[in-house]
Amino acid sequence: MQINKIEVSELVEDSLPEYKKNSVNRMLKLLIKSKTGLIGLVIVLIVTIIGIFAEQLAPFDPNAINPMLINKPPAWLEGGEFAHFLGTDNLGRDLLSRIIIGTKVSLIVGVCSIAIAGFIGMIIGLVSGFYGGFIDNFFMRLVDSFLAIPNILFMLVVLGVFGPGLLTLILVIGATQWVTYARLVRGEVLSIKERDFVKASRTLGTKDRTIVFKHILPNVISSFIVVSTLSIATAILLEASLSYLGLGIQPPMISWGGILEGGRNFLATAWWISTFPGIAITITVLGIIFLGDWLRDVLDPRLTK
Amino acid sequence: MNMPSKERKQSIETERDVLLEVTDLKKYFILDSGWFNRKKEYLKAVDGVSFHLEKGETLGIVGESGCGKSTTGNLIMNILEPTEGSILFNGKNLSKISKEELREERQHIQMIFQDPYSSLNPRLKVFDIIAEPLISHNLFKGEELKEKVQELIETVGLRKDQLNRYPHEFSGGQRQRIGIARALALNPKLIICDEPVSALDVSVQSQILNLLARLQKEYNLTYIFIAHGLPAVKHVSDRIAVMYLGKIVEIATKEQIFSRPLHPYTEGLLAAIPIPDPTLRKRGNRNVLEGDLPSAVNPPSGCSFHTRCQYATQLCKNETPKLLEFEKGHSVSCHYPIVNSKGILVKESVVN
Amino acid sequence: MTMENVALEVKDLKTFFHTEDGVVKAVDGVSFNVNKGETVAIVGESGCGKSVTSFSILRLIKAPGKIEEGSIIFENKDLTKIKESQMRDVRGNDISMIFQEPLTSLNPVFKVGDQIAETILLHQDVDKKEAKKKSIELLKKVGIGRAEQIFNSYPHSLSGGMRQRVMIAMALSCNPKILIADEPTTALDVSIQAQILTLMLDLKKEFGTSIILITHDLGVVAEMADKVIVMYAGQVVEESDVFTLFKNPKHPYTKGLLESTPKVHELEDELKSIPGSVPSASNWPKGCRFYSRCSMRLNHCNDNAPELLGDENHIVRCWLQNEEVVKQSEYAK
Repeated sequence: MQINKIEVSELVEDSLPEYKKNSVNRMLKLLIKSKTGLIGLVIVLIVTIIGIFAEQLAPFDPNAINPMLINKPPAWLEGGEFAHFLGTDNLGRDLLSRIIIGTKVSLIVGVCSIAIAGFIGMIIGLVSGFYGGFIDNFFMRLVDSFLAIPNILFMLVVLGVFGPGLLTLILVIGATQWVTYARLVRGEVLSIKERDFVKASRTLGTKDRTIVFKHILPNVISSFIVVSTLSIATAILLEASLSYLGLGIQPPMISWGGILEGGRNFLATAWWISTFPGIAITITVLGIIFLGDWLRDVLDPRLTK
Repeated sequence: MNMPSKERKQSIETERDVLLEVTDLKKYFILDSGWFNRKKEYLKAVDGVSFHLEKGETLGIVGESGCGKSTTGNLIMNILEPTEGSILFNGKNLSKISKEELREERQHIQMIFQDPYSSLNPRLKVFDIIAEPLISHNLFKGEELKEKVQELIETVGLRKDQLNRYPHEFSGGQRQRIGIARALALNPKLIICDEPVSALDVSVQSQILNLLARLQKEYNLTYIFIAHGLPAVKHVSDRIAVMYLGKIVEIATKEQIFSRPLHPYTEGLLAAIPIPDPTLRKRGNRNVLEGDLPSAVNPPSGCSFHTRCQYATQLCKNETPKLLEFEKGHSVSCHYPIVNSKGILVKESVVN
Repeated sequence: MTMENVALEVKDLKTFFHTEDGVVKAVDGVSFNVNKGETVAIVGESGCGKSVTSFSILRLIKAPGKIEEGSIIFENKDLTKIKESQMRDVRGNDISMIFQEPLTSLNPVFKVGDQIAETILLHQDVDKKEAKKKSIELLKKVGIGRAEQIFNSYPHSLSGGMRQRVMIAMALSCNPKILIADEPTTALDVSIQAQILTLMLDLKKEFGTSIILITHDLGVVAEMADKVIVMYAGQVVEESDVFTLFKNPKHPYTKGLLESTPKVHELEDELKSIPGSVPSASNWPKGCRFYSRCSMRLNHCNDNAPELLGDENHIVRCWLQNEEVVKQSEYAK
């Protein structure tokens, strides 16, 4: 095909909105603007670093029992010691070290279970939404039946049968959370599928696989990421609840929920044992939620003005 | 090519180069009336549409919302499958050929969409949008691909350096140009323009229309121009088809449609257009089409326009008029076409 | 022109939006009058500030938007200064508005009749029965034949044209002095558009309402308007009576708009276009805002912002109207 250069008279001289050179700049700008986003990011970063370097950061061996130090209060209370800043538990173990090590487990459970749930949900949602018909009907009825089972009950039964443990916990949380993603992704796909650019792509002779990965997936991914972030918070809370019920992480492995459970009987005499892991959970969850809200704003190029 | 029909013979006689021939095209949508309702209802979106299109020609298809003009476009694009009827493109029946052949033919039919905001993927850079068809069909790679895309964007009046931007950084008119570049990439023969300017500002509309006109000349393109009003197609069309409730009620050259419309609906559409000249104000005595469009699920009996037609008689209620040729190149489906002072006679039947 | 004749006076209105990327000067010093019983059309392309102007009149501008300066005088009150409670009395009662998309302006969960009756109950001292009777009367007035039946139907079951009729009935329910119609027929089919325009003309005759018609369609302007205000980039660029404007447009932008409007009544016409598009509202050019797209531009225009020039009946914001400038300056390339 021969292409003629267009005449000068037809050239479109335009004052475009200022070209956003890189989105990193824009993200930083938005981050500074949204204070909660910044707080969220800082919290999540700190928690992640603590989780990764937990062994190095923990001042004491978290499982070292010391009968001399039973139920020591935090440093700022009478009888507290600076070395054991947050105090010790009923077996004389350093609470701060336990919480630091517990971060690791909580994060692993949160991230891994949501990764599994997200992966399953994403695939099912994409297939279901894109192809529709019988496949869609089948998966959506499956989703419905999952939604009809009470989550906690389901998890208790499974954990009871297979026995508690890290892997089982991750799998069981993942198995209850994927339905959220399947529904979310399917809904998004259904609406994006009807947009003209997908129609255009079909008329251009693009293959289904390319349409799904190039046109649909990138448009689903932002809401997916936002919901995932928030779900990690849910998963951390679930882990804590299950561990609290004694069906989650088993000693000697340490998790926030586990520490909380351990302090349950000493609330009157040593309130700090249950309180500090509780605070750790709250702060982390809040941080993740803040981060998620900020991501929602950042990830949509159409919202940029 | 075998050509049994009379019209085909005629078209050969006059040495016309027919690119597209649509015969008795129908698309019925089944309305989901629930499990307990046995009676099936159909929405007759397109109900027996026939026309042909010559190479290098522009056909305007005009009608109000729900008349089936966009469905017709989608049927030709093969986005929808026809319930009945045939679409011959370049002598090949698109609904009969194999999948690979269809993919091959599809390259030659492209589409430009109405909404420049939803027709471009917001997550892709302009380069990737224009390159998509070239990659899908494995036509260019690497440096060649880059050059080709640069050529394309300059053809539509944008600059090379705008290729690595995202669609939202462009104005509506510019986005429509990107859509045009994408449609041109595969070197198509036929482009279906589905209201390509109705979402744009007036001054920008003519920019796009002029661009389309220039491209038509340069690449010998054939256009189908779908619009809801006559003004939008007047400037670009050679012939115009007016649709009402899934049927073509009148088809003729642009001059014929505008100077002597035969169908009362066409007349009404023309009268409804506000004239940009206050000295020609029609004031109260304009010939306004009464009432609303009937539903395509239960279209009126006989001539579907009779409920809004001021000339309707008992005959119109009972009998569906056929699309007949009244003068050369001017067909109308009406029992009482608006005859001009000369009095036009029926010459021959277009529909067998 | 006496002041008693003026229904609404907009003086030097400035409405800005404070966004992430700076201040968007959507309406930047707009002044005009609307006389009693007059139809004033505000014409312009998207982003020219015509809709923001109309929303400003009703003070319906939401944050980050704000009326920064100027006054809107209606019945000796400055609408930009009165209390919100007083403003609520003006809205829907003295000044009412109809929108482009009638479906989104009607509440989907209420019957259309009840929605009209509600407006009447809000502003008039009548009981429910009376309000219903009035609503049905209004529906009949806007050309709805089966008014009693339509009264009891929900918005989604009506066609676009029918909904716009309902909107008009609602807007007229309190005999407003001014009706603002923001692209009232853009979303409608051609034949329905003609019906609605005819209806608006008839109602204007009957009620003597002043109409502010916001549109981009010069055909609609020619059919409906008495006076035309052409807006570009947040400013009025030309204002005159409708006949003068179409016969003798002076601003290059107005000329360009007229030339790019398809003329159906002439068989052969050439469709011209204005190159480029509207500059960004967060950064208006220093000189004439139309400079980058103007085919008649002078060197002078790039740096100097033109004022509105002309006589009482026809004013234009263009340096070409200033003979001295034309003499001294050369045409720019």
